[in-house]
Amino acid sequence: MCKHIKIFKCYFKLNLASALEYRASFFTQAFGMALSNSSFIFFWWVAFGQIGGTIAGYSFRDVLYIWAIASSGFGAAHILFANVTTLTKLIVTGELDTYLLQPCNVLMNILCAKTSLPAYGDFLYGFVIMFIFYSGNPMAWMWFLWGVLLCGLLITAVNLAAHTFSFYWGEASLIGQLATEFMINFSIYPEKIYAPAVRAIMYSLIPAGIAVHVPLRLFTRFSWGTALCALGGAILYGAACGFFFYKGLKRYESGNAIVTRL
Amino acid sequence: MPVIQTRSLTKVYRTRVKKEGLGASFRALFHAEWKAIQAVTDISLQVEAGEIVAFIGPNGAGKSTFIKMLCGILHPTGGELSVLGFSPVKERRNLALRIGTVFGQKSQLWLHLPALDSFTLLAAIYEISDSERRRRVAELSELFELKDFLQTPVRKLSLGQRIRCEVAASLLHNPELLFLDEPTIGLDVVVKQAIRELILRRNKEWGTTVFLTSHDPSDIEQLCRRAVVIDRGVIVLDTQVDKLKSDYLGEKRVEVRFTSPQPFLHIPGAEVTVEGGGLKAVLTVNTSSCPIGDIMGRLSAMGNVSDITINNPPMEEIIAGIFKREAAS
Amino acid sequence: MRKTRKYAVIARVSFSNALAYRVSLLSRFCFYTLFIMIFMSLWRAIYREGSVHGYDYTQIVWYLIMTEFVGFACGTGVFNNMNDEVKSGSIAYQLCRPTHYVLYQLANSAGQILLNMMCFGLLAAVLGLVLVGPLMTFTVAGLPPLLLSLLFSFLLNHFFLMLIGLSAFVLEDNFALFLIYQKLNFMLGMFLPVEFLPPWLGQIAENLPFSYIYWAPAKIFVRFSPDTCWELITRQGAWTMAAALLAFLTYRICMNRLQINGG
Repeated sequence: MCKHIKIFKCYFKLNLASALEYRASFFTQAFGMALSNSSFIFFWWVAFGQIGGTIAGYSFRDVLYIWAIASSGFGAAHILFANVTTLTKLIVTGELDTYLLQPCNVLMNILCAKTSLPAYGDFLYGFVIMFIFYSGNPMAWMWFLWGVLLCGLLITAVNLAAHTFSFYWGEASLIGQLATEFMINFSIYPEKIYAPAVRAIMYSLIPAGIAVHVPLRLFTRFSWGTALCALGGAILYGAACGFFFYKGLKRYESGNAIVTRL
Repeated sequence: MPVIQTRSLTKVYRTRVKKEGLGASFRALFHAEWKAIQAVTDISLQVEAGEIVAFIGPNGAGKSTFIKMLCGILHPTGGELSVLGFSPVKERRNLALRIGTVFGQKSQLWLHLPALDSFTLLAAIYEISDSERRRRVAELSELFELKDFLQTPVRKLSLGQRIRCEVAASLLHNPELLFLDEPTIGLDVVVKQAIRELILRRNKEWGTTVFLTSHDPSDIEQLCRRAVVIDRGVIVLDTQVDKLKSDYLGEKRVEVRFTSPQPFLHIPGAEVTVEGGGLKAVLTVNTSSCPIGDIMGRLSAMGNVSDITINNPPMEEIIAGIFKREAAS
Repeated sequence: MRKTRKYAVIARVSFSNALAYRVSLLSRFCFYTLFIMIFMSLWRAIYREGSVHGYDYTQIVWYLIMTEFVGFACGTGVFNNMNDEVKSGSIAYQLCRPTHYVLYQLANSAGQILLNMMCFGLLAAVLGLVLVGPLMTFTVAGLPPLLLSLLFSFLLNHFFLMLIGLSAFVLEDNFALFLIYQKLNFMLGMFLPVEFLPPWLGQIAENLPFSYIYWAPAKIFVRFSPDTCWELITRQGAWTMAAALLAFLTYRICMNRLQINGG
């Protein structure tokens, strides 16, 4: 355990140092993400300007709150575990070998090996929103941080599960992209805009509801039951995805994934 | 106790057969067809501590599959297997702590960072304490002469410098067993030689066992004492390199260009083919029976030689020669 | 005659080349459908709260289908291509080719976009009809101006992207510029009609070129009226002319500099 914390820290430092080698590109990409997020906030600003009050039960401040969690959560996930998005490539090209050759936990070794530059922009963006709109509200901050944590964990888990399909079907990066896209789109709009069937998915298959909307609910109307259910659900989901990955890895180890290269 | 021991090791891949076309892809979603591919068949091999073994065979012969099974990346379909006393399938992580690998083009180093940083990460992964790490890095950088560029981002290094760092990285945790898959591919002669000397020294001073694949006959000639030839997943030949050398590897190809036509050329101990109306000749010489120096002496005595190049025959030809002779016997 | 023919051939080759990437097209179909579905849900929620300036629900969904259609159909790699060529210096080789680089890129994009327009056009029509039913305000008389407007959208976008690509000559990291351009397009027309913006901002947007890539054709499509339509198209045309001139000029200046300074 102690060893793995050390490796984790080492990866983080190396990733950051590697990113800073290209300082200009680092800042541009972080800036690009912030800009992209702002264009969505702009949309909401205009929409609320037209309508006023609430849209699908969310006020403008509520929307900013879920945006802050989603943005920082995604940022955190991709700062620490960006390599999960390349998992399909690692499997298909056989680059997974390198990770399997090293004497430490495979999943951790894979997840932490890469960072994403724009993610730093995403991560900071959420904090900037919180500073501007919720600076004097400690409860808001507490549930924001909790949300960032769960959102970061869940987006990584969703990605991991989606890319694990590559062990079975070969090139499955489209599933990964779609999963990410769904996760994002379920996170940044009021949940009530979606039909009940879709909302059921948001609390099961693609758990954006637990990641983003529950923290908002906990902040506005706290209840122990909701908090514990969300936490338990998130941990269960993460564990299930990890289990699925190790099951898939068995197939790699027994050589199916490599066949494409023979 | 042998370092590597396999008994009837076998690997069968099950691969999905997919036909062309959208309809076929769609059907394959529900009803997949499978085909078995025999990659490694019944290989029994024993390698003792301190040996340097060359593992040779044409592309697709099953070399990589075999090595990957030894490292625990792939699980065998059948047979028994023990490496350093571990079962690679069950004790991959314990085994990984004690083996080192240089796998062709797959780098362990971070491209945008100095090699020193990658060493720090590898030290954490291989459970090396900070003081121990500093000691070993100092040692390796002296041995491999890395001092001048240990602080330079890897992408700015020359290929030779990079491969030296790469090999050093794989030795950081003092592995007892080293797997080298094409370690000298794409390097120039001088660097190749340097790498070979380093491997040899490591083997002499630390008793490190080395398991090597290569397409360069010189690698095998200069490094190994034993060679195992495999084809289509089966061991074809397991012999001393000295024997291989006299039979197959000792052959050199001498290309000679003349300033004036030399239609008839007779040199004892060499098989001669004259080309280009006598302006060029190719001599095939077996150096174990006829030293290359003698041939050179004779050629220079002729007085009209403009250019000489000496080559090893390509690995593929050597292997083909082995197969031919093994089939005949 | 020969001179124009070669660009037609370039366009045709790029058309068939794009045809080869069927899987990529299929995945973009998925994303297009996904975006439309999500934004439709969003607008439905917004319209439940009250009515919005001048567009009814059916119109806004069709508006979205049109802007996303332009976005997906015009998605060519022209910026990336040019950026790479300028940065790697391989643009210098263009000097010894018997084609004009700007026209070459245009023809190359045109081929891809033609295919995109056909495929996404079909998908867009089907999606719209299934999701919200036919657009009653649109008549066949509106088709020619719509096509003309789409042509200008494509050209305007293309020349802007070229200009940003060429900016790599002077800017170390012009990707930021590309992002700003892209987001301006999003905010000033792609996500929502210019009419929705606060009046002061709408005024500014109407006098900038960015809204004429997404807003103009989509507005002509969903709220067709002969007067406004020709005014919009005239403005599109004017901006396109300006952007094209600027692109040709910038290219010439850059190439001259390249010939004198050498890469």
